[in-house]
Amino acid sequence: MALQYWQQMAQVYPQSKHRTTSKVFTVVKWVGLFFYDHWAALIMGLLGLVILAAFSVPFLAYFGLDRLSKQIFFAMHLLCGQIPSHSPYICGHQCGLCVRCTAIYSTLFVTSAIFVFTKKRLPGIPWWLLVLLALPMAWDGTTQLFGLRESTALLRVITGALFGLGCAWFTFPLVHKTMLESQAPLVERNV
Amino acid sequence: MTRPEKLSSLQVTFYTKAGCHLCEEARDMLEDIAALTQFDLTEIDIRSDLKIFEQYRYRIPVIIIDGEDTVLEGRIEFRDLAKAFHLR
Repeated sequence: MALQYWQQMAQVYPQSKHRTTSKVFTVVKWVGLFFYDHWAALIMGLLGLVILAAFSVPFLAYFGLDRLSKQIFFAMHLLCGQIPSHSPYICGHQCGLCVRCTAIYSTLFVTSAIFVFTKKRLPGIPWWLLVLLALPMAWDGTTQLFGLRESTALLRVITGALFGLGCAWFTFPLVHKTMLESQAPLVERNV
Repeated sequence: MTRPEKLSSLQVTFYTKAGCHLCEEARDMLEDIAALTQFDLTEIDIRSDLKIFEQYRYRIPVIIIDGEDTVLEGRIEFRDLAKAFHLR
């Protein structure tokens, strides 16, 4: 598929007479093709890194690497609220992500891994199923936000996992389908 | 009574633990507050007492101002801390 796309692109953008432009085009083409082929694996790797970083925080702190642990911990605040009472602890040290975010990112990672290792053949889910899978977390988070009740770690894990599963299961196949369809204009123009 | 005199009587208890990143951040904030106003700080390592440890292990950093009047814990924002010290 990548080869086919490359051939099409070469016909759409014929090789320039200028050597510099040609080199730039080649680099851009390779980078583009790399991302086109491996986007799902790259996202999966990124999600894996997030989880690894979250669990590295307590271990680094435990082994005395406080400075590195602290930097990772505060960098992860971009992704998570890191409320101590909602967070898992390892060796007495707080992880980089709270329980709910750990569940979300873990299921995003696992689902993306399934998508990648099934060679992007995982069928997508309809939007209403995504909404259905997101509803438990919305209910759990909203009722807790307004002080109506206090959630538990188990509920946070379950609702977060359902949300992560829904997001990945809906998004990855949809992106793949859209990328396949985006080739249609090139084929139609017989280029 | 002027405001600084009134604030000088503030008793602050800070529950913390070594290796707690949020505690380090909270301590920095308390140092910033100390540059603006006076208060008496009591720092307690939660590992010094089993009962305190059980009470605060999943809550630290905890800052208690004037007995139990104001309690700040977890991710503490500077604006909340400043407000608790009547600085804003």
